[in-house]
Amino acid sequence: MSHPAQDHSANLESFPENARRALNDSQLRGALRHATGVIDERRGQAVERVACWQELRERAKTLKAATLERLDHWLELFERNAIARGTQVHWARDAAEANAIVARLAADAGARTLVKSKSMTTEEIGLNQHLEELGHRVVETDLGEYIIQLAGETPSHIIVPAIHKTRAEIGELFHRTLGVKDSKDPKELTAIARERLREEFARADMGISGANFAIAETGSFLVLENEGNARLCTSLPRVHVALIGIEKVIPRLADLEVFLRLLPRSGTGQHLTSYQTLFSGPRAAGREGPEELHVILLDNGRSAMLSDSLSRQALACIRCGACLNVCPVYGQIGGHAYASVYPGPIGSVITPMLQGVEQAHHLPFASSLCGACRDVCPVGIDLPALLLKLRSKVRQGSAGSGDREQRRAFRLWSLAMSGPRRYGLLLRALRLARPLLERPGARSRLARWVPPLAAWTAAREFRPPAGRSFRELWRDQEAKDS
Amino acid sequence: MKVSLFVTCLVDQFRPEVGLATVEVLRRAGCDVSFDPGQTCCGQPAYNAGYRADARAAARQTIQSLEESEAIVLPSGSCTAMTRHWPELFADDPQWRERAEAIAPKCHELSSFLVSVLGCTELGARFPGRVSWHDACHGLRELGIKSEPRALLATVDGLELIEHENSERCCGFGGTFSVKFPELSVAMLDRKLEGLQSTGVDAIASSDVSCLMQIEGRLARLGSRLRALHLAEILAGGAS
Amino acid sequence: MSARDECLSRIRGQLAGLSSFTELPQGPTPGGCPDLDPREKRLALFSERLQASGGQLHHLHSDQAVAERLAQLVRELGLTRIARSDATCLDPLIVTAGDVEWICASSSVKEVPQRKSLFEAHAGLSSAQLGIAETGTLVLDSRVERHRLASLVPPVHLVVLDAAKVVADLGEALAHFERDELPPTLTLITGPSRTADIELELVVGVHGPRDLHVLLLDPRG
Repeated sequence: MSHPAQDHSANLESFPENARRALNDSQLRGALRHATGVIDERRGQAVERVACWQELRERAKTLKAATLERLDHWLELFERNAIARGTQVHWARDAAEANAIVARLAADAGARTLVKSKSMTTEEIGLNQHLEELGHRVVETDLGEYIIQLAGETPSHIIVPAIHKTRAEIGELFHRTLGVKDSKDPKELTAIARERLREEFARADMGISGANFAIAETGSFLVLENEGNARLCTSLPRVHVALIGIEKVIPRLADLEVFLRLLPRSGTGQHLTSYQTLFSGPRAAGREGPEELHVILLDNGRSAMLSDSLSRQALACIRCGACLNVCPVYGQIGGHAYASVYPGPIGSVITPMLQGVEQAHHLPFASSLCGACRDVCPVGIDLPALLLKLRSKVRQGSAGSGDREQRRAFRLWSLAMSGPRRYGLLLRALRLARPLLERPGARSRLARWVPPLAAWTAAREFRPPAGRSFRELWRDQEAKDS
Repeated sequence: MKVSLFVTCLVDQFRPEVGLATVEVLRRAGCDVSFDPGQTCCGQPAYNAGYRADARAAARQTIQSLEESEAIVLPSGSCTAMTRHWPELFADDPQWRERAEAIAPKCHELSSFLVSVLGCTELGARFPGRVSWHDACHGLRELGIKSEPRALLATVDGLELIEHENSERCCGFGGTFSVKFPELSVAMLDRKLEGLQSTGVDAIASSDVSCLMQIEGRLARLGSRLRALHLAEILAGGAS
Repeated sequence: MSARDECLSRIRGQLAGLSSFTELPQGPTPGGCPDLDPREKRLALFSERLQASGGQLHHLHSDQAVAERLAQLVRELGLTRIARSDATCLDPLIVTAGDVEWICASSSVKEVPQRKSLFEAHAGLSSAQLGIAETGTLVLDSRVERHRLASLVPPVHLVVLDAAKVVADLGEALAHFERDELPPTLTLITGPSRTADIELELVVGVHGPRDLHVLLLDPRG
């Protein structure tokens, strides 16, 4: 099974171009519009039925904030309790270290086929590619992820990986890669995947999962899903390895309650997903399940996000995907345009934070700051505030140097705005430009020298500044009145 | 009530008639309106583009000009929302932060000032036509303004408010976003405007000139007969 | 420095400047339904939520009624090969269920013949340790019963649940499993296996069961 190299960071530069390309892809936009609209509507209905939704959000937000402020304590507690229950705990500073740990465990287990349940964290570290280079077979078993793997792509949504694909495309893909008859029926296509993947489950030597929450006081972790593939991945093979970001830890078992009310409703509009499995150690003697249970705690840039209370908010994300579905930008271009593992508003925040603003400098600007994402976030992350903070960070670094003209323009602008006389001069300058802006011929000549004007006028008319400003009209009126 | 007008830079330079209409409406509501020409801009264009030092320069000038006022009214939800960001903008400057914290609560968006502060919805306005309302994002999501403009429009003689399913959808302006990603910005607007023509409205109205420039610019390019109007222009209509 | 120590020291370094800390929220989580009494109300909600998530509920009032309904389901659904868990409460049911080949889920499913027969089973039969009214959920405790695979692999899952074990909400269910009471695997099941990965269209039975039948034994009802 091939999974072409996905060097996300190399593509991060190309956001503007990717976005333009996506806008010209009517099939993509049709699929996106349908899917994001449907999920957001389901989410809205599910949330409406919960009278105390705001209280739940507030509680989850406080809980996450309190946990992250003492993250070292909760991680140590988690580790101690997990070990006490027979789970083997590993720590990884970065992606390379995490990949190496999984590879070592796979080698120790003599694993040829590895089955995986859906995990954005394994996408983040490029695990599949790493294991395949070492000669292992890695099979994605979530239907959406399976489709994406067959297509040699990456997920374009946190919850619905193949959201950008139509049933016809998926039918054609199955026909081409699996040699089955072409079908456009989701039921038939799902049945085909079920059959194929059963063979993989039956022969797999190792199962790999992520986790939605890790519980400090019990050393357990919880996996939510709908299909049952995560249960199969973690029941049949002899070894289960879970890759868990350090931010996933919560203090108490009882704290799951608030998240179980928030996450499924926000993600898919369900009051609960079909399955939640709480893992608290390998099987007891004579029982079912894996003999070995490994947990890898991954940092990979997360600890640096603990620096202040606003950045810590980004670590509270529970990966529900609600901000993607409601985002008017994501809704137009989809996840691949972002060229980052995590797309949409939350992706535009955490990608620069994990990989550095220098590399991902376009993403914080890939938003109109409408704030719809903040409204739906179940843990109350102030996404626009984080985007604004990152924008300022981009400007402080060298990454924004491509925008040297803009920097100069804002310097001039701020000079004009910091004194009434200078502001008056700006008004006069605008007045002088007016004849140029009013005549279409002159305006298009001017646009050649002023890129923002060209960008504006490509599909919109430009309203030139008024003949007399408000302050002048006011002065006139005052003079008349006195 | 004594009211100081913060006209905002866009209205000042591009739509001064909105400023005049705002003055007219406030006077009709019984306010004594003043205008201090020391004001410039709230700083939002630079703030949203990531240039915080430049934003501070603009904000300082405007704060200085308006801080003695009892109440400050802006014909913009977006700029009013920016005044709420001023304290954070001056987080590292205790003196200015204090001034920002003092002035921010005194700044009011026009419709919320009329309805929530003055308790006045009946202004004797007349506007014949069918109007669709655009809930500009910052007013809606940062200030919670939704019912106020509707309460005001409901009293306008001859006006029929046509609710549209996309009223809360972003127009795609987003400041420099509109020229940094022009195709995306316009695609977002086209999505918003979808189905609007078929509702038979004569105008789309809002409380932010920035959104209105985006909307009217596109409508004009598409050859639409729809007008893009500011709330104040409607409320000042049919002056007694 | 080990990866562990470095991760922890990075975290401590970032948090070093914190002077005040947010309090962990205490008290009950909002949104539960702890006062769901009498039991009729609790069972009614359980039944409603279970069916809303696509499960089927058989409200039965005696052991005999459970046995008869099981036999009826076996007949109607044509189940001739069933994987069963090792719960002893199932033993009497099996006697009367009809002409069925029973496969006992074993710890050694790694053995190919065992695994193959499990994969070929028409249904799985198990009990459940708890029901949750708030969500119509079944709770399976891997310590009590070997039902991890019987509840998952075959296309139909038949579950016997004691009505006395239906708790009001998620909070009450979690409270049942205080820290030392946790099994290696605790599974919550709400309705059949489902996916919506193709154009958001719901398809059931993708990897787990497409049909979930709950035989609710309620002698007091």
